[in-house]
Amino acid sequence: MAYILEMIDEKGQIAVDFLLGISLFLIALTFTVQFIPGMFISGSAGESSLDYTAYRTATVLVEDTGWWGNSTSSGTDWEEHPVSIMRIGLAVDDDPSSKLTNTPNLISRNKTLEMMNVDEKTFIEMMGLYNNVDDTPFSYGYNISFKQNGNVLMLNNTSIVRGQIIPNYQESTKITRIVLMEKGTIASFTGDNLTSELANTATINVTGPFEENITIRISDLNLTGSSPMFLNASLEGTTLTRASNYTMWKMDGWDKEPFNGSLSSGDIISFDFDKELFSTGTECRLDLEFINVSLPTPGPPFTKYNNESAPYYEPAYLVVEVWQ
Amino acid sequence: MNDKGQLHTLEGLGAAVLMTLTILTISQSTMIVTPQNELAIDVHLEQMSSDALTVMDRNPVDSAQYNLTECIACWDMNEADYPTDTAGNLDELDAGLRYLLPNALYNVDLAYIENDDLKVDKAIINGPAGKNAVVTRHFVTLTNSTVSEMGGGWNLGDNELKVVEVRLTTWKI
Repeated sequence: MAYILEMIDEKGQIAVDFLLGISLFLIALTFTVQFIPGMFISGSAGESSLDYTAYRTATVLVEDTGWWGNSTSSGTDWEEHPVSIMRIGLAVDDDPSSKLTNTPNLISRNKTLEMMNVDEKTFIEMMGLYNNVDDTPFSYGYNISFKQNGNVLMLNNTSIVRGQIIPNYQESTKITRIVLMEKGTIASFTGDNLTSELANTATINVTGPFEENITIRISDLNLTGSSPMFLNASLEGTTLTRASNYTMWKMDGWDKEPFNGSLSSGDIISFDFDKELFSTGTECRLDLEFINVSLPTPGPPFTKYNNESAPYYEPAYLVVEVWQ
Repeated sequence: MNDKGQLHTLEGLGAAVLMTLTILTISQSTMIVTPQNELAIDVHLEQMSSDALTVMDRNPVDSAQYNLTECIACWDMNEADYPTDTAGNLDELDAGLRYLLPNALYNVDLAYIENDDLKVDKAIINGPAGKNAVVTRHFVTLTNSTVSEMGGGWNLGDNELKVVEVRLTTWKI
């Protein structure tokens, strides 16, 4: 009885055995947690690694030029050497021997098309689209596409989209990058440097073939008289059909606005001609007929499209989506 | 004299071990630090607005859309006035950014050195910045020839270079 009373006096003190036991248990638990990675990786931690993968993939594609190399030489023009690819990147590079580009976000058409041809295993390995679990690589599901105005972009009649269909029941991570996509070639003229043989008619010589549709942009036309307008386009004397042979727009910055032919001062107009028109490979005479437009530079010789043409870039979105 | 105190010391020790272990677990474990979803959205928006400035900057000179340097060079140096005059004469820059960032609102500030002082001018104001606004910046260099070609009000000497920081504040609507 006296022993029990003594115990009551010492209330609140825990047993040494319990303390020792719980300490040992906690130490053991801590070591287990620390030395077995992945044991406590929850859904959110998994998502974050997807975040990194999507971000990294998009960044590499947009900002890197890629690299190829074999025992003798190397360069950034990997699209020309698909067997010795070392890195895949889509940024334009004007100097393939330097490892840098000063044009991030400018996407090369040829590199993009070659990306579509790279076989699946190499692509996943190059882009790091996998996760190592116990030394076994598991590929992520991925979908990489270029989009413009909500639609998948087309180059060389190919939709630029790689990977699998995005599952709508599974959590995925998406990164969007804004890029300038090389869509073909463009020649820009002002009213003063367009050559003309017939009144009101601008004549441009075009030599095909072309890989993409060609764009002719005209600014600063000298308008005379009332209601000046664009009448029609003809190739080698044959009048072309609007919509099927060519489309035309009024440009306001990057915005394409519908153009019905009537001109007002300060307009920048743009024509997209179907590449098939020039598939013969010979020099063709393209006439653009206007009403009440004065073209002060006489021809022949006529301006050549091919001498004036430069790569044509349009804003597009690169969308990378990755899931487990 | 009794020996009650011994057990108290042990309890203290136990508590110390527990605390140390807790701190160790928290500081050494990377798994506990998970990025917030909101943070990921911010990163995404920051990436987009940084891209928008890069794309404006890298746009070829012969494009129908003026590039960033040309846009800034044409500025008449009059600050925007919200809400009556949101973009001043920077319509080209405003149109380009609106085209590239269709789901966001943005303000543009221009920072440059004038008479040894840093001046920050409000060039485009689309409203008060939202809660999760992000700021991205890009530098452009102006010369007298660019400015006079674009008809801007920068008033530079013939050999003068003016470095202007374009600050783009973007937020989701």
